[in-house]
Amino acid sequence: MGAAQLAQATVGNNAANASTPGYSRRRVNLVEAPSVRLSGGIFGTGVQAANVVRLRNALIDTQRRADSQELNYSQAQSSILEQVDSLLGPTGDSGLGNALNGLFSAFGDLASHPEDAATRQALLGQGQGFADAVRQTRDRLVSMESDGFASVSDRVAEVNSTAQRLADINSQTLAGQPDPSLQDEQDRLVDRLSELIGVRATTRADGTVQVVVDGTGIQLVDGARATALTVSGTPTGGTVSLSVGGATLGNPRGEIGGLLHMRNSSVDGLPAAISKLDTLASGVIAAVNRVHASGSGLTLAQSVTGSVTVSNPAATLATAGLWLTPVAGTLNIGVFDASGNFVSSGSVSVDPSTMSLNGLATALDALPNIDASVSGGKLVISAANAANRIAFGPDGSDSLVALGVNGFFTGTDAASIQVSSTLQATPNLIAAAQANFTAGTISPGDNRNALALAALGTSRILAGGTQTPDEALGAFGADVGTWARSASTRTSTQQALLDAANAQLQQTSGVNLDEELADMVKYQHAYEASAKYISTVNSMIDSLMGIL
Amino acid sequence: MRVTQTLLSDRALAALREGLSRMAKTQNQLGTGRRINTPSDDPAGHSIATRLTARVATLDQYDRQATAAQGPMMATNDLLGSLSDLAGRAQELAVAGATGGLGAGERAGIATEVNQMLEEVVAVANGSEQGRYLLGGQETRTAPLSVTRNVNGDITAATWNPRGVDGTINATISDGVNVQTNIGGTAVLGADTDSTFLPALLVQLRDALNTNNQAAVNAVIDQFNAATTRLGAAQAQVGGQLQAIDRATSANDTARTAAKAALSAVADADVAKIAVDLSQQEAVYQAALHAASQAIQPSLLEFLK
Repeated sequence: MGAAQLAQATVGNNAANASTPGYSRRRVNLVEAPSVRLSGGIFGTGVQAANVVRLRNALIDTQRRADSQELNYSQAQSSILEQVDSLLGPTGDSGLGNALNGLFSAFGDLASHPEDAATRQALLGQGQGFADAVRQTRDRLVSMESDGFASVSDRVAEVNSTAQRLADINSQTLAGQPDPSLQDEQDRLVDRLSELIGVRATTRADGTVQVVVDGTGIQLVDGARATALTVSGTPTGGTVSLSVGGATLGNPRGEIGGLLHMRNSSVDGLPAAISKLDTLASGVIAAVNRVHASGSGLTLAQSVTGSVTVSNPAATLATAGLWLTPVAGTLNIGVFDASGNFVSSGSVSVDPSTMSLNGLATALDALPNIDASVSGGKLVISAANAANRIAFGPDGSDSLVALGVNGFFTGTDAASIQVSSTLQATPNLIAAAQANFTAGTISPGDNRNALALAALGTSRILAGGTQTPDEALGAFGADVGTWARSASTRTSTQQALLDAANAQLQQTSGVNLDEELADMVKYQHAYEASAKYISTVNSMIDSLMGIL
Repeated sequence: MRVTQTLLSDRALAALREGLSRMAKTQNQLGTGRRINTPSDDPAGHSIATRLTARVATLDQYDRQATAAQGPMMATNDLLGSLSDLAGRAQELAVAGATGGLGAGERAGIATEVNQMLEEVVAVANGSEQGRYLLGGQETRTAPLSVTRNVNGDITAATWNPRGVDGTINATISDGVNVQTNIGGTAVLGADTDSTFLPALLVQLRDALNTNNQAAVNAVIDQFNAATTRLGAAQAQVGGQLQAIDRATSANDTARTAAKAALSAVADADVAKIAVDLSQQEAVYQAALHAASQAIQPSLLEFLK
């Protein structure tokens, strides 16, 4: 009867835990009690419960964990890529593409109305709209980087506490009897570690679990000892890495692996998206500024200061670490008086391999009516006579673009792009015209520069002269879309594999209520039979006693 | 295979999850009217759509430049018409003034009319549209003709803006099509040093009439032919430019229609198809729900009473 009761209790426990995650079905192994030899034969002495066993298949567990770590790896990537994906959003009425089209369209409008103040103002608005869209997109990508870093840190903390808990259970196991619920707990913790970072677990003969990071020999848990993971790196930029007791983890799997990949990969991670956006922005800045720098506005400035700071003005322009390296060529510059009458013009031949910023300033300063100097690493060009104005002509050397002189945009990448504050303060400085040094004129109705700016929208100015701006933007979207799509495909594949492995686990370890109920009835009957036997024996004894 | 309740409910849930996410995607397509809502929906399609959207924006921009150019060009055309009329009437007056037998008084009367026409020619040549001088070349903010007057206030000479009146203004009105959208002052009236410079001819005619110099009046008449011919050529040039704009605009329309159709084919949702898909997915989802509720419920418990 005791055995039947124990079996009944196990059935009850199974039924109660039918939906407990990680619970393994248990069975009471019933064996016949040792029989006794009495006079007249061998008699059984009933049943006894040998032990309670967990029904679990270690092979399925290993497979399931391998699937689960891969699933979490792709899932972590997929969820970040989905955000990047939706950042680029639909084509058409919103986002970067719209801002880019708006910018070149506004240059076209400037060509139609070069004298009109409202058109210039609208162009500044479109330019700022493009710059804002680029910067906001980049800010979002960078904040995804720091979110990724925070998630990695959180997950690492969870790995450490999980590993510690596993080590505690190991020491409990070492101290006492193997306990099915502790074994279930071990399995659950190892499952969680697999999801987080990808591990391989080995159960020792003494019941303790040893855990190493999958693909490495690095031990997380060994017996009663857990080794903590540490995160190194900064929230944004650079590379984030993990180490365990001084050993660096190369490419962990699991959720942490997926997050790290997104945080670090320059192939299909956030750094790749950021660098693609930076390249796009730098390309547009360079192309627009190259045309703008050689143009003239409705009014001219007496003094022009470059927006790019050169850390070592004595270094040659080729080695000064400029965002864009000037080439050998001629820079033309002229001087007009305040009423627009030609004063003088001159040119400087720039050889970036020999000429430094200081050298360029000296050469410009030597031109008639022009003062030039380097102030705080920036090139300053002024008309010597305070009443005169500076006008730029064709610059075959790209030094104006590289130094940020007379540009439409300031900044050098997606993080720093802005419409020049000088132009915002004086929209008439927007260069729709081109100065003619031979005829000595700059005309308000001249729209040649504006037309050249508008034409950039359909010119192959990006990716080394192979892509138009919209093609480059389209390629960026296609890259991100492909990454997101393949991550999400991998996720569904892994989900299917994990589902299959889970189904296998359920086959062995899952609780089928029908079975348990049938068992319950079976043990109930056994119990009733035993009770009946006792009552029969009892009535037999009663009858015997009655006789006496 | 051994089946458990958890397995059944897990599978049912997975099927429902799948069905629901498919429905969400379809509903999003139906709601936005777009097949591609993020690049991952169709990376290549998204890239094509980005380019086509830019293409449409470029064509729109070409049209805006064309429309912006049309106003001043029409005004220039009208202006040339007026100048042509004035030149023709001046020539008639010259012929009338050259007729023998006219007295000094009569010639002086004609001279007054010629003087009036001179003023008109200068005023028309300095015509502007929305603050831009039409014949000033790129110098759109300076009146192209300036005049010197004598003590009586009569014009004695007219000269072009010394910074030049022949700067061309262009517009990009189609792929690779840059058309001139203005006409230089000297192409209309001649250089101010030319013998056939219309204002100078009128000054010459007026002065000859005033001095009752029939021979001098006669000498001017032939010069008017050259001036009129030049005006005719200018009108033809502007007319040609206007036609080029019309041609480009209609070519742009065709290109835009094609680009929009292509864009729609790539990016827009096929509403009918998607509505059908959605109701189909709904039916599948309902069936899955029903199956799940049937499969999860029964256990031996219900029959053990």
